[in-house]
Amino acid sequence: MNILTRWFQLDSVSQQQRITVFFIMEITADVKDASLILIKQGAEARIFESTFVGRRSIVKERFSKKYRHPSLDSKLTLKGLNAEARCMTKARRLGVTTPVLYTVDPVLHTLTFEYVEGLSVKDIFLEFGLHGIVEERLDDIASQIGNAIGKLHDGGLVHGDLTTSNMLIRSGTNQLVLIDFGLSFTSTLPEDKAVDLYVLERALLSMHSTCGNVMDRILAAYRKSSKQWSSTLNKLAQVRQRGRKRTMVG
Amino acid sequence: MGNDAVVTLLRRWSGNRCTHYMTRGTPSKSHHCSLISHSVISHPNHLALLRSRQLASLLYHPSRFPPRRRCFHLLHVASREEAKVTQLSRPATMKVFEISNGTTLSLALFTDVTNSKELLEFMQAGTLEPEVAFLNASLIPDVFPLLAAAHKTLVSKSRESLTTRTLHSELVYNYSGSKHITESLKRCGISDSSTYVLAARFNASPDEMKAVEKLINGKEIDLEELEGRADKAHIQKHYKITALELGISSLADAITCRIAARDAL
Repeated sequence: MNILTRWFQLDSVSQQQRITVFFIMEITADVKDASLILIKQGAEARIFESTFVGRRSIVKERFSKKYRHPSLDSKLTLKGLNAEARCMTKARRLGVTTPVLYTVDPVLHTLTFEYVEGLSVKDIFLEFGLHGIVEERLDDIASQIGNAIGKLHDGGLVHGDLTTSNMLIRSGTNQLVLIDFGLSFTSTLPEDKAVDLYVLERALLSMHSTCGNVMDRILAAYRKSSKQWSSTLNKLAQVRQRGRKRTMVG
Repeated sequence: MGNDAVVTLLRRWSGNRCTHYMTRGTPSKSHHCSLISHSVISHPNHLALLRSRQLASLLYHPSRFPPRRRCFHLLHVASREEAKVTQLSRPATMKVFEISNGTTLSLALFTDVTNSKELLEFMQAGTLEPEVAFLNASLIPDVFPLLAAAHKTLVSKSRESLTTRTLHSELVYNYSGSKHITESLKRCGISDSSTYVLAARFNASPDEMKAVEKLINGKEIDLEELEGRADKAHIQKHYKITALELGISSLADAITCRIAARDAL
């Protein structure tokens, strides 16, 4: 009986909190005075398009998980939010282009950043698959990717979710922009870096096998830009054998 | 010739005499004409008093043009001077930006400021009227990072979580991108010896901005000059921006990122 009532109380608390959260959301939509247009919804966050003091922007809202205890949930969401802001700005300091961060809102759990005009690398590669490859462009993109990852890894930053949809090519300048640092962390271990590369390799294989061996070109550029390439690539060979997850036997 | 003398002359000349002068044009008065037109142009406020036709009559030098061409010349001078009048009388230097939900930030940039010590004393005593933020403009290469800081300030104001005493000191603190309040206000605000200052006020009425302009003894210049006058080396040092980052980003974007990410670090 005691346990039952406790559960009931917990549930009512979380209900209340949910209501307040929605209430705050409504007010800020007013405060920002710019329409938020939902453009994508993922498991971790919702992406909106909006404007920030006169510039077109993207708002990424990390929503709370209803199955977690409210106080734990808000702590974890905030931690993720701050980590993402930190990693994005760290990447810029390492010389890798990421969208300009405009503001972080710890109450609404939102990040607001620059709207990057351009296609994702995924769209470009799929286009290559349909209408034939433009070798020059493919080479340019692959070397930019390898170069960027090399810089990140040498600076001790692991992206954590390197897929072609998380890379944009800015229209006009053809500059590579890395997005979604939601799973990023800092690490100097060759293991983490190798897994980072392995995730990209798998993504390329499954999505863009028609583009030929893009991964080799990326790795060639990676070798040039990263000073610690040899230990990472050795590790990559091991990771390829066993897969992304490390076996925890023994 | 003093300002008052010019004004009295202008008042007299903008009456009936004006048309008379345009048609008759006595050479003996031409010297007077150019003298007045010269002083008028150097006093933009007085220029605004005039209509283009009256102005044309003032600038008209009868001795230089034969009667047939007078008409064309007058028209030409009138249109040219009119353009000058609109340019000078418009407050091109002060700008208003909308931050969010109708809240605005008005900015005015000053160089050769001589009374920064006085301003600083007013500010520290809390007797500054109207309340305004003074920023060290050499650290500001573009208005956008300042607008981002203003946005952040308004958000914390709406949640009543200001870190500093006033809304305007919060703007200076937020622009610094650091968590050290005293240091921020010292570096990004003004000091005794500041000569290059950006004044900012939230929701300022035109009258309030005029009062701000009166408060500062200096030359008001256009905001476009921010980029050229910014001290790049100083900015890089203050915000710890490496050459590597500048390879992929503008100075303004790098500052914006630091302002936004300060509390996440």
